[in-house]
Amino acid sequence: MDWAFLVVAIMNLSFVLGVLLNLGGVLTWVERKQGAVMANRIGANRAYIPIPIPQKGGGVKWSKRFTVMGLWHGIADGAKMIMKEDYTPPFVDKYIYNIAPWFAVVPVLVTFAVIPFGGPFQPGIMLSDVFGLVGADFASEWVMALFGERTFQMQLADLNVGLLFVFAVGSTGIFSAALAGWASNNKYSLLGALRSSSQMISYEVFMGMAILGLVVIYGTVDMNLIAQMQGDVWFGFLPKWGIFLQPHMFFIFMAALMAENKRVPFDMPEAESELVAGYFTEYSAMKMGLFMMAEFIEIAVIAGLLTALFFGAYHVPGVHGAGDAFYWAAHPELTPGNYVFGMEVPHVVVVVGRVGSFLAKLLFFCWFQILIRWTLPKFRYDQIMRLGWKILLPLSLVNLVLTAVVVLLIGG
Amino acid sequence: MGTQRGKNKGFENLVDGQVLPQPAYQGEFTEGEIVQYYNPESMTWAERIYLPYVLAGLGLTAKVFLRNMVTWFVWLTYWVRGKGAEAKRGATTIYYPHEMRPDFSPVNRGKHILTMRDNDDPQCVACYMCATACPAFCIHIVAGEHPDPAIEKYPVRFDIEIDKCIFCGYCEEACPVDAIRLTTDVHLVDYKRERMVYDREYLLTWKPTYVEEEHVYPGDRPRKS
Ligand code: SF4
Ligand code: SF4
Repeated sequence: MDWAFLVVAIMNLSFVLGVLLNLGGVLTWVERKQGAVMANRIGANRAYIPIPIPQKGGGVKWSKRFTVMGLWHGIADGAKMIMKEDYTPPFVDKYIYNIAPWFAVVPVLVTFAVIPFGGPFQPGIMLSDVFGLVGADFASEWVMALFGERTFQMQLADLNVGLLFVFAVGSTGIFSAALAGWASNNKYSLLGALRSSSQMISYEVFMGMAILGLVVIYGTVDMNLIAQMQGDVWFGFLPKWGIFLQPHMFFIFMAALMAENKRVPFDMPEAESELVAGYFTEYSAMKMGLFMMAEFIEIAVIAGLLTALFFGAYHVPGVHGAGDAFYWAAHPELTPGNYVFGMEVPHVVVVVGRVGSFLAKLLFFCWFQILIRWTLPKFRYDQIMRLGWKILLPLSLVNLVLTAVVVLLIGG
Repeated sequence: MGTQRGKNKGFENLVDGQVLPQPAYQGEFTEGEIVQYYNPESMTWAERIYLPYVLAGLGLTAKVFLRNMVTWFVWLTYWVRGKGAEAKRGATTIYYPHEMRPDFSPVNRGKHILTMRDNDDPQCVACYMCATACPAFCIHIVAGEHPDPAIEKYPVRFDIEIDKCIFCGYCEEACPVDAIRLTTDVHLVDYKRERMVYDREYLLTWKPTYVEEEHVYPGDRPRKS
């Protein structure tokens, strides 16, 4: 039994799940609050936890001021959804109706498995540094005995088909809307399901096409290798991030991802003004909550994908750490180690910096998606289809051909 | 003028001596002709490819967002020093029950009060003039005989259905003894319709309906009955 691998896997797993599930909750608050700030309002601030304040003359008064800027609203939402009656209408197809919400949540969570969020790290060296700092030498020896100098990836599954896995799992998300709408036995739900199926299938087509340009340039679909390559620099200063390689494809890829998420500029499947709530009209309580949760977690997953593919994943420009094979191949004059702007630092600083950098970029893109959600008006259905098939698909095809030709001419 | 009009016989749109084409709806139509009543589509190329204007819109909303956040952080530095009122906070809205707008007019017509004599009896002589003047028929008075023959009558009950009141102030004007007045208090909310009938005792207490220090929300107002 490879205990070291197991421990690292559990560490990675708890980090990813902790970040994703918490972001899913916090983003509901961010969505409300950011929309308010963008519109010169204050936003959600009413949910409070009552605090008893003992009075001088005996008795207590319950303060209603502990609102923490409305952060409790997410918890209040969750509590409400869990405690509401979970009503299953009598006319639905029970089995499919109950299984559909899970098709929404699971693919979203699983997609994150191949996203590298911290790059290579040596847990033995990192943890013994930390324990040595606080003077717990026995713990240092223990972790060194367990991990040694082995290098692990901060990524749940280091698959060599990374990007294909994203598309494969992502496309199963269609099932959630289609099955939910079909099983609900309701015309609004069915219309929502039809719309979502056609929209998601259309946008999946050129989501793959849009990213193929990058794949041609990098020569791999392994997310981990793509992330490592982005640590390289051009002309000594410009990081070799995807956004500098294919800036136009960034917009197309993001449009496709947002259409997959079925949120506001592309919210045809649920279109409140036309279809009540679209494919989850008949859902109540936590089953409906699962759809919402999947939507909000997908914001974080999309942000993670954009970061990993276009914004240098975990790299901080100019900072290079152990195990960065491409960087050290390009700089034979330096011995591999942990360098920040040419200075050697403890390994833990590099690791924390990289994870911090990834999280910062991830949060920025979460913010950006919510900015889009509160800025752009909803498309009409024919506009969505025209945009997808007549504009974005040809553009990404042309881009793919041109990229391939250029890569062939200059030799990669 | 006459010559001017003579020149422009067909009432064309003359601008700088040039004749502009007539709008379609002013001309005579031949049968089967398709007339465009709406303006022709006049989007520029940049508008039609959509992306520049998407970016412009995102820039605008992001600008508002960042401006408000910066203003808020500046306000926070004032607030931790206890001077929150001196700085702007970014949002144009307020935390309603915790904050009141300071710019209510001093002559704003709001909740009624009944004035009192020196011995805390109501000033009102139950003459029914306010009830008669009231266009919303929302004042209900039951008169009783006052022990003092100079006063004659007093209100045994004096109910105002504040949810029907239109705050016209006629009752105030009609009263011969200045017994009823309208204050500037507008925070008249409640969770029950029955409690929107203000009785004599409540009208005789002049406490504002909302008291900030006690964290009493307008709807949480303690009331008898
Ligand atoms: S303010 Fe007008 S409507 Fe209200 S009680 Fe007086 S007379 Fe009636
Ligand atoms: S008009 Fe004045 S005195 Fe007459 S019943 Fe009304 S409040 Fe009382």
